[in-house]
Amino acid sequence: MHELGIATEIVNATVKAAAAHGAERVSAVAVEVGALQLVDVEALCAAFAAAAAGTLAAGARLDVREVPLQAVCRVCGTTYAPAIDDYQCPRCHAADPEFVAGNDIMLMSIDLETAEEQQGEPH
Amino acid sequence: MSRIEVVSSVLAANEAKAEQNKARLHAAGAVAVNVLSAPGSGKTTLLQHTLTALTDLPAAVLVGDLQTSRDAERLAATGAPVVQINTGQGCHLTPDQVAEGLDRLDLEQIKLVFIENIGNMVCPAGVDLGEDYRVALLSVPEGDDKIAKYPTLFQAADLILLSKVDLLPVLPFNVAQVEADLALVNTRAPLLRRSTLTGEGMPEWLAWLRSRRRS
Ligand SMILES: Nc1nc2c(ncn2[C@@H]2O[C@H](COP(=O)(O)OP(=O)(O)O)[C@@H](O)[C@H]2O)c(=O)[nH]1
Ligand SMILES: [Mg+2]
Ligand SMILES: [Zn+2]
Repeated sequence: MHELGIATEIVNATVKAAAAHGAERVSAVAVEVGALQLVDVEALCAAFAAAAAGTLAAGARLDVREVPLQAVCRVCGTTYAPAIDDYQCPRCHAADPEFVAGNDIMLMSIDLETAEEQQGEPH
Repeated sequence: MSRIEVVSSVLAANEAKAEQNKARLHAAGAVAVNVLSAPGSGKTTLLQHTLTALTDLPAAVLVGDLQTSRDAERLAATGAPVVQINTGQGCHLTPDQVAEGLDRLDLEQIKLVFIENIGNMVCPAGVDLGEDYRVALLSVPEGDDKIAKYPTLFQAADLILLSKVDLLPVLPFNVAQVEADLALVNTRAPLLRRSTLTGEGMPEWLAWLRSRRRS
């Protein structure tokens, strides 16, 4: 359920970008998923396939790179890499992180096929 | 084949909508509090009691549920303006749904908007609705391991309510464990013991709300 919502957002963003480039078909999509999103990669790929059905991105491959957490301590300013279940600052022991990486989902790149390419492809 | 480098946040569109909600609330002089927890932790009951007690602060509720308007009916019985948002399959409220809910309120008359999120400990945590504050509930019957198991919900909270503390004498529940787990995920938010049965923590909760008021 969680992954389906995220997959739907990825498909929407993909279709928008692909259509703006006059693409007929998307063959692959690369995303970066932050650890804070608690995404299961396998579930995300399955959800992506379901959400992409009937769109320009139908059948496209989803490449997922997971981005580890990085935080700046709001108390002492230390930059550190928290674990997903322990946000304590190594310097002052406060757990008051501002996450500077690992909290977003980024659409990185899309591989497209244009109409001419599809027709011109060798058989 | 050609590759387009997009490099844009998939969450940015939602964040922009959340910012619009926030700007709208601020312009009306209202503060929004997003209330999050598992189903059954006591969100609706807390808000029922709160609306009745907060006679000096005009408040409204946007209440999310997958189905039914039962919570809205319970809340509307207090006389406060209440909007039910049914999300169907959606596991959390979205900023769009909150915007539609705000359309149905007379914001000029309201100082405090509670948003009762869908009961879920994972999905709502990652979604900014444009609220000023987040309150997370953990109820005693859920068990003392839930902060460790669902750190993201509690990490993003400004206040954590330990709900149903009237049950502490009858359930095996280690408050010290909860405090230790919280020390790992959030040292900014106070942990407040609450019971709607005994009224414990009610004065502190109301004081916390009153001090959030935008003058
Ligand atoms: N013992 C006890 N039960 C409570 C308390 N607050 C709520 N409940 C009960 O918990 C159940 C779920 O409450 P509800 O407010 O509907 O939870 P929600 O799903 O988070 O909105 C109801 O049966 C309430 O009567 C409390 O402080 N103590
Ligand atoms: Mg409820
Ligand atoms: Zn620190």
